[in-house]
Amino acid sequence: MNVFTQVHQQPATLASPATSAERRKEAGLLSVHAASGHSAITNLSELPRFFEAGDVLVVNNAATIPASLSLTHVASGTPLELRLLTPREVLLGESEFSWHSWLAAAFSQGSWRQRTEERTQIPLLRVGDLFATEDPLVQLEITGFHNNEQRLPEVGFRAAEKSLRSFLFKHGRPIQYSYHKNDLELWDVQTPFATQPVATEAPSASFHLSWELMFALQERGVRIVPVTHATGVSSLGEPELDRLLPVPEFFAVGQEAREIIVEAQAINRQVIGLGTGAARAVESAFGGEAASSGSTSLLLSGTHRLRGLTGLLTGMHEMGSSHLRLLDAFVPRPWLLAGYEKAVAAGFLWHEFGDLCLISEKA
Amino acid sequence: MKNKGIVITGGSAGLGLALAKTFVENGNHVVITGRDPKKLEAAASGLLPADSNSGGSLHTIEADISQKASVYPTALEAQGVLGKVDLLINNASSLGKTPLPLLVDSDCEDLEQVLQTNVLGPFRLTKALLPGMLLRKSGLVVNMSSDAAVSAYPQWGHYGLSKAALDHLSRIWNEELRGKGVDFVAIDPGDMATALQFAAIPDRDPNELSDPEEVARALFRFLSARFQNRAENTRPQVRFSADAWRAQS
Ligand SMILES: NC(=O)c1ccc[n+]([C@@H]2O[C@H](COP(=O)([O-])OP(=O)(O)OC[C@H]3O[C@@H](n4cnc5c(N)ncnc54)[C@H](OP(=O)(O)O)[C@@H]3O)[C@@H](O)[C@H]2O)c1
Repeated sequence: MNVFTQVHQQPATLASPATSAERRKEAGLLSVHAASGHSAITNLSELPRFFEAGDVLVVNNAATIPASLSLTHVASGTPLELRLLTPREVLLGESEFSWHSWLAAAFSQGSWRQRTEERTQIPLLRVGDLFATEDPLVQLEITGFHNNEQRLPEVGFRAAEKSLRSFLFKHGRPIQYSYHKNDLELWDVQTPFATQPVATEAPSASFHLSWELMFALQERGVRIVPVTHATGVSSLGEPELDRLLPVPEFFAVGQEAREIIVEAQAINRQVIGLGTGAARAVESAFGGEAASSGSTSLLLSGTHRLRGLTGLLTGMHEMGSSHLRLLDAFVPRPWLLAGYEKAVAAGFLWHEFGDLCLISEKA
Repeated sequence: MKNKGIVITGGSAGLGLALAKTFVENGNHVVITGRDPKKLEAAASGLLPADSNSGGSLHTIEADISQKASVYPTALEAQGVLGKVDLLINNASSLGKTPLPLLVDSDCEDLEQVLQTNVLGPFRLTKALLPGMLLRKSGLVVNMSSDAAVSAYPQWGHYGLSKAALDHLSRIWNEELRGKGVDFVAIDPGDMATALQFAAIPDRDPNELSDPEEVARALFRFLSARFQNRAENTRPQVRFSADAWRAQS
């Protein structure tokens, strides 16, 4: 069987977050043993079995901001959609997260139901151009272009801090996906750990987790540790631009989180990242130039030696993509694919409200 | 309590405003919500002098707590501004139609609106702010109740049953999350000289009513102590009548 062709891609009407609450309890779990390659299909509710006292589950506490803005390009009078990608400071490698200036992606207005590939025609944009918003107190100005790409303007808000905030949270919308049946509302894109409003796309591996499950883990002596990773947009609809992704993203690992992870390492316990964002945050924080927060461009791959984590709990990653490469840091590819074949046979779903995969040394 | 992140719904008038003032004066960072931007503006400018000395701060968010579409952005914005939320006070409240009608003369649409403001709003906002509290194993959620939750006052039907539901909601939250570091209380502040009181009973003698600022100072003491002991894994009392919390403050 060729798993590359068998993967259940996003069917047009399937991925509705409204179903996620019901799906939560019966989400599938593929476990892959990182040391032996043994894999098995089970149910997410069985997750606590794979943990013991002293183990750590690191979760991403990023909340998803409404990063899609409807604006008018003043010079041409053209309505546009801007998707905020990452704060400009973070792009420049600074450690502050600020809402004032952003790297954004421009899309022709259209309807978000159109695929982004069909929405690449935009008017000529120039540095200094203004975007008008629904709020007369708030304008955006183009301050530059990322990689000289017209579709990736760097924009600065021309507004007082308070107007900017209220504009963003009142008029911004979550980024939409053409394959969803219904519009995504702000509450649809929050995970059970959503705390810090920094992500522009939801850290989707957490969607199926419940606090009931977290409490069951805690009862076993597992420590749930929050870190922050500003999960960003994963596709811009144009291969040329997608090559520039992911752009540097904000992360933070607090002192307490670091201490708990170090403690677990010292007694040889598992440290499992929930989702690739949590993984990138931890591996960045435990990197060569260890920092507690800042900008990360770290890409996990087969050549990366894990420094903080011992395993990963994540969604089913698309085949042949950079997403799959990331898992090479945790398990040899053939073992993963052997597990994926079982998952395909078991009817696993491969989208952000789909099933999950645990790669660990105890799976 | 000092240097805490606090969200107070309905903080632009009455008890909510008085609480905001007290918490800011004591060096806390407070987000208040309300529907009327002018009232919020006035609240913010009225508080400024105290701010500068105490190290506290006040931020306003225009939001109607009865609307789902406005609760979630409010929660995100508040967390963004405060960094962390230690204390949530669900204080905004609707009386329903005034003059207060008999249930038999009332409309179910009015009941729906009262429940949206007094029960669903607090439920949603609590749910949206709980992840941070549960992850930090620290938080206190205060639901403003009323004696109308306990006594079946004629003509206070919509309001009274919404407050009874809010009391019970507080108890169930507390039961489910015992030992998780997050504490819940439902508090009857007692009768105060505020717009809500006079909307319900226009000819009420102001001399029989407490000053909301005095109530806020006493509540500050009570809530500070409660916050201090939030992690205690006992079976603490959840609902407090006006006399009960006063006796402890
Ligand atoms: N006053 C009393 O005697 C008494 C007695 C027992 C219990 N209580 C309780 O104490 C609490 C405070 O009451 P109060 O007397 O101070 O009330 P108040 O003077 O009427 O003030 C209510 C505040 O809530 C805001 N608000 C109302 N509806 C809102 C909504 N849907 N969304 C957001 N904000 C909203 C109001 O501003 P906007 O109108 O601009 O939104 C205002 O800032 C309430 O829970 C009440 O039930 C009061």
